[in-house]
Amino acid sequence: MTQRRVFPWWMTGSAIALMVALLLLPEPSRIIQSLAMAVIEPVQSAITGFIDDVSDVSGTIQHVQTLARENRESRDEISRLQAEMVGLQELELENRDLRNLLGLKQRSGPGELIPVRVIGRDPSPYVQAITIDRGSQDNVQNGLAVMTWRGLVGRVVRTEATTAKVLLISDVNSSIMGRFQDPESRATGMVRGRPEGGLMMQHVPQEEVIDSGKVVISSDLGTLVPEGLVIGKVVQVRRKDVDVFQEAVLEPAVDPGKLERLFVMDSTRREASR
Amino acid sequence: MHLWVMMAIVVVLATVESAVGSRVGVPELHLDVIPVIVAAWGSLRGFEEGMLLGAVAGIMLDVVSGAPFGLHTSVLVLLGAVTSTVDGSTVRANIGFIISMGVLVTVGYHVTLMLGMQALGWEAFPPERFLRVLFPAAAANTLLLPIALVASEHIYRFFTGWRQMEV
Repeated sequence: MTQRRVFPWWMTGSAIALMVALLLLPEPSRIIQSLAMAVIEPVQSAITGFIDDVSDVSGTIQHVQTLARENRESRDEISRLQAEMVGLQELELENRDLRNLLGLKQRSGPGELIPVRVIGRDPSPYVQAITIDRGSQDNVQNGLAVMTWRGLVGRVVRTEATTAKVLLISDVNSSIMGRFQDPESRATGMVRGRPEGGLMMQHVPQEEVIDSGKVVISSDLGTLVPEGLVIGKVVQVRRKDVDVFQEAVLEPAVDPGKLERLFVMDSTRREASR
Repeated sequence: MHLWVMMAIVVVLATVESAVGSRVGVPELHLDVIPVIVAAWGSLRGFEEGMLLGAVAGIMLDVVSGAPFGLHTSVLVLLGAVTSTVDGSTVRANIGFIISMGVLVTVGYHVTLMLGMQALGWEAFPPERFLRVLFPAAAANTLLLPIALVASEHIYRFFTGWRQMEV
């Protein structure tokens, strides 16, 4: 059986001639290359562009997912940090109060400070009193002073086993002996609450010069209220030349509507240690 | 049973009022929730139950208050007894009676309270300050009274098996 030729002899010769020409003659090869690229290049560009676009989209999708995850993590971190910041602010306030309280304790001398919490207020409009969560079981006794680091809040008037009633200094029936925080003046007066709010210092001798802004502190005259606790400051003076005494309207150092971090000063221990 | 339920309600309300009353509401407006309830119950249920509820309510207010112990009990027992002379059902039907009863209950309660404090050696409010507390309280209590009357009557009916007769 005769074997047929797959490629005709002239085709083979042409191919060999072309190869020789391309290898040995630079100009023809360059022309052929240019022509070939002119045809191929658009196709290549199209394919490459398409693949790039596909890659961009998939890359964008992946990037968006990454961004979304990072965004979520960042938001969680922000929430956590915000909560932490609130806690730190509370700690800062507590730290400041405790430092002030330490200063108060140092100024007021030895005596146990019993931390208490307000658990109730008097429902009557005529009585300014609060209920605290410590009582006789915690050495709270009648007459002991209740304070914050800012100053005097009131006095214990009734105790039960686990609670006590505190009459605020803003009550009209409250009376605390006070004096001006002035080394040149030892004048004292009775500080009472006013129905319209605020305090009134009564029975101050006429010859006493009272300036607005003067601080009034507690005067230790035979009571369980320690000396030196800030009661308030003078905002108005009332005097008449025909009267024996003058009066001073005081702004309380502690706002009765905002009572936080209260302490009962167990001054009986201070008395015992003297 | 209904009286026990009213007593429990009064105990809870007095506790809640002392714990959160100062934190909610208007500072210059005082609401006498417990006295209004005692007055409503006394007018509906009569002398004995009015006084009993007044006693329980008064004891609760004395416990949470810094005023002399026994003052609120005395005043509310008196309030429960006096309001029992008024027919609550008649009051509910007439707006004029409601306003009158609301004002009289408020004035009677506050004046008696103030006089009792003075008698026990406590200092009273000056008249102008007293009136500044009294007027808003009277207005608020007058609005609260019908609610207390309706609620009291429903509680009584619920626990006594009262049924509306249908003709």
